[in-house]
Amino acid sequence: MHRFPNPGSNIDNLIKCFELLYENINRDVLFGLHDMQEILVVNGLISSSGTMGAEALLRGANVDLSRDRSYNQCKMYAEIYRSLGWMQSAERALDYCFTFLGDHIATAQVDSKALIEECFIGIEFPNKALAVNGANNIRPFASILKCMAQLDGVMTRDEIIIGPLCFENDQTPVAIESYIDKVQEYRADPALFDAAFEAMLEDRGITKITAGNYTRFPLGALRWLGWAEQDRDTDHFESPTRVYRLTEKGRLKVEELDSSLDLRLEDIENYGELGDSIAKYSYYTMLTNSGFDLSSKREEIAELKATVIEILGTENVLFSPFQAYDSESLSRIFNYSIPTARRESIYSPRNLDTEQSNDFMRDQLATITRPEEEPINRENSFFQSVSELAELADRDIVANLKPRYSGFGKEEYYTLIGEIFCVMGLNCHVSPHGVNSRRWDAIIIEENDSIPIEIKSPTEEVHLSVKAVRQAVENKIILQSRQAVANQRTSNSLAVGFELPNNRADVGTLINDIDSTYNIKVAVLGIDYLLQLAVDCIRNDNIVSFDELSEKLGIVDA
Amino acid sequence: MPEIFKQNEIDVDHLALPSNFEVASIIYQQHSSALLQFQNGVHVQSSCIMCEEMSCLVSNQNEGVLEELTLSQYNKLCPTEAIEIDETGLVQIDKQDCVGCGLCIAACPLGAIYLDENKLAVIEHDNHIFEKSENAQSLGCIGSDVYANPVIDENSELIESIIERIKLRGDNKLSLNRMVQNLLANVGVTCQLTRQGDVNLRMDGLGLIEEKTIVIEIELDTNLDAPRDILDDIAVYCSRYNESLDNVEGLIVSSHLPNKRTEYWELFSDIRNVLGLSIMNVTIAVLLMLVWNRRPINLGDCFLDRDNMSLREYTARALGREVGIATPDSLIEAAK
Repeated sequence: MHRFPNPGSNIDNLIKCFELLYENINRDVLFGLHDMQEILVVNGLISSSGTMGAEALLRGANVDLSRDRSYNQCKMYAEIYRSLGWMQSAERALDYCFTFLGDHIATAQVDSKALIEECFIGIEFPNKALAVNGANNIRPFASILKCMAQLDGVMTRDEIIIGPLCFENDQTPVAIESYIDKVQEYRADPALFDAAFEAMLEDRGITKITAGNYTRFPLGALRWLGWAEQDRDTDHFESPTRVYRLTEKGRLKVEELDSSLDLRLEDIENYGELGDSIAKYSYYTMLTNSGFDLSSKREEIAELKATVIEILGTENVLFSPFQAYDSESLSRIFNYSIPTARRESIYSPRNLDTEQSNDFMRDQLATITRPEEEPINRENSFFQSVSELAELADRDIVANLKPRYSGFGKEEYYTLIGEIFCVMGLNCHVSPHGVNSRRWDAIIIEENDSIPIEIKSPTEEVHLSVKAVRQAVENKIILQSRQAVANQRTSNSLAVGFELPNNRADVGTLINDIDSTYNIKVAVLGIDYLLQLAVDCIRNDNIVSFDELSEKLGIVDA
Repeated sequence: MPEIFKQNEIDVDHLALPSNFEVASIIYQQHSSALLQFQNGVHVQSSCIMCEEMSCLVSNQNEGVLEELTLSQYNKLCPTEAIEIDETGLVQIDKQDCVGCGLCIAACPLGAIYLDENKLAVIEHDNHIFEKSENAQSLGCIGSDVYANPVIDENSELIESIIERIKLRGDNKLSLNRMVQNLLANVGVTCQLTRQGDVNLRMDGLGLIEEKTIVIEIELDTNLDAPRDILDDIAVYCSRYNESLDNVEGLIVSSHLPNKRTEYWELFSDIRNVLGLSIMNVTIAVLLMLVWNRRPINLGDCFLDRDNMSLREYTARALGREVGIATPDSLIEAAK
């Protein structure tokens, strides 16, 4: 099975991290994992020992790098970036530099998504970019989409695991056909599938959980790219089953793939020098298709196109050189020199010997560019929803809006709660999914204080429970201890859900016990209260004061 | 008036050491009862004498933490009730129920119980030297200095088999809690189990050590829920029993320690930083090793966090020797 690293399934975060690296590292120097750590941890984009900022980096440092979590997360990011062709290894595997393809991702003026899509399709294994050999000769994203299309547009996670991620060679039509036939059999007899899946796990010496972890990144990407969506299927399975369903966009991608000639690194290398022309042409086509202006290269592209048609009989070639070749070959094909100078690093675990050098490093780290704080967006989509109901009375607006949110899952609900607090004039940030340093789901930030928020969406639990209260306590303890953002002991920690707890007495008493024992205030809010407050703020142009909110304790009624 | 019938009594045949025989040393042996060496030079295999204390059956150390819990305590030693007196008047061990924890082996003052090849406890009744006696003989006079070697030599396979047998039981949570209760009592922590479903006492157990109340969570598989639960337990306990947080500590007893790369470890430092509250981590393996070596526990040395995720060093110190479990092993340290 091909093992994708799992730095987190949030692709937006993956891209944001890359952009920040690009912004902070000179394009013409080599950099390493500690440089990545320095920039990403200090900016809070990845966690280090559960904290954020410069202090987090210094606290999380470990001479034993296998125990340094942010180092290992950077290692996984680096592997993904190299698979996507945005970064490459220089002479030494752990010396990186940006690629031309990476330049375009980071500097795309309008939208980098089209090019990012191409990059996901461009991933192929084995390749020389990562210097991986492996047992799987696959172009995983293309394979997943093609198999999905052949399987009536639906596949389960485990079907993806035993198929596109396990194919020895996805360019062998017989193997694919046999897989499709087998899956159809398995769907009629789940016991057969279980046996095949178990055999695969045993053969590879991995557990089901590990196999699942290897799919988190590609499945997150499929959703982010809009090629497949999660759904429950009752048409293809005996009982309702969680599947990934091909979207219309995914179908169009499959059509595009079917009309392209899929060439792998081995094929290209067999063409010798002519292979360089194919590589160059496919790279230029990739950029053109993604909306980049290559008019300055018009003549060269025309020549390359003629050569490609002459060799291959088609101009529709699927190959991405920056995702396949090693840096040496790329520098030859694209005629550039691999950087030799190294970035001057601020952070290195080797320099953490003395308190004095830590202080020096702390000052230096403070100079790293941070993304600018975005102003509070009060006129967000929640604001629009309320405005559209302006004719109604406040109570009716709440009654109209609440049912719309009752089916919201985590992501939608967290965003909604963030927007509601912003509408109230509070600086509320929703934590990106999968960033461990931000254990709270959202946080309201004031100049010298903050309120962490634990959110339970209605699909997680309709009525808030003691579990949310416990997590709110933990959020406060972590924030107080690690001071990722300024936080006063006296301000509360919020647990926000859909409906207030069923067992009000138990939850209320527990909150009082926590307050009297630990001096930690927890307030529990339901959607009714928040909607009423937010509608009032919009209608009367009011704001909610941070101080007032931060003093609330116990179950807050609408 | 209908007749009230009396139940038949079990006739127990008591045995006693011959007069003038004083135990010089007791040497535990693999797969057989201990070797008894007497001051007069005689040595024999030990066997059960149906002594007065019956310490292989009874646990009397489970009171004194919270009065209201005393009456509901489990007062047997064996967590799975595998050891009892049969109809012939002999102490017998039911192999179906035995998990091989060795509590009874450590409790028998004469070393008459041992683990067989299947890692299950067996009691020796084959008498080589003891004489019939009218009354049960007290063995309270046997001092701790006669025990020459550990009751059981530890290894990870044996400890894993104990945990696995507990896990496979239908009443695994109850058996686990009872085992931990008696292991803790054996290493010097008085421990009472709470009643299931009591919302005022949500913890699994309450312990007492040097005037401090220890709030105990007992887990087969540990995750972040354990520290979360214990915070909850302590808040409820302190508030309802008007106890100061300064007099309370937390203890998580688990079968294995979580991996290095979990948020679990950082949380203990955070809790100590912010609340001044220490939550200790002890594994069943550590408790078993201390019991098998007749050593007390020093809970203060069992505070683990992101800087120390291992109980190996402490255990070695407590045993006065290296631990017989290969490194790394989640039985005593965060292994991965």
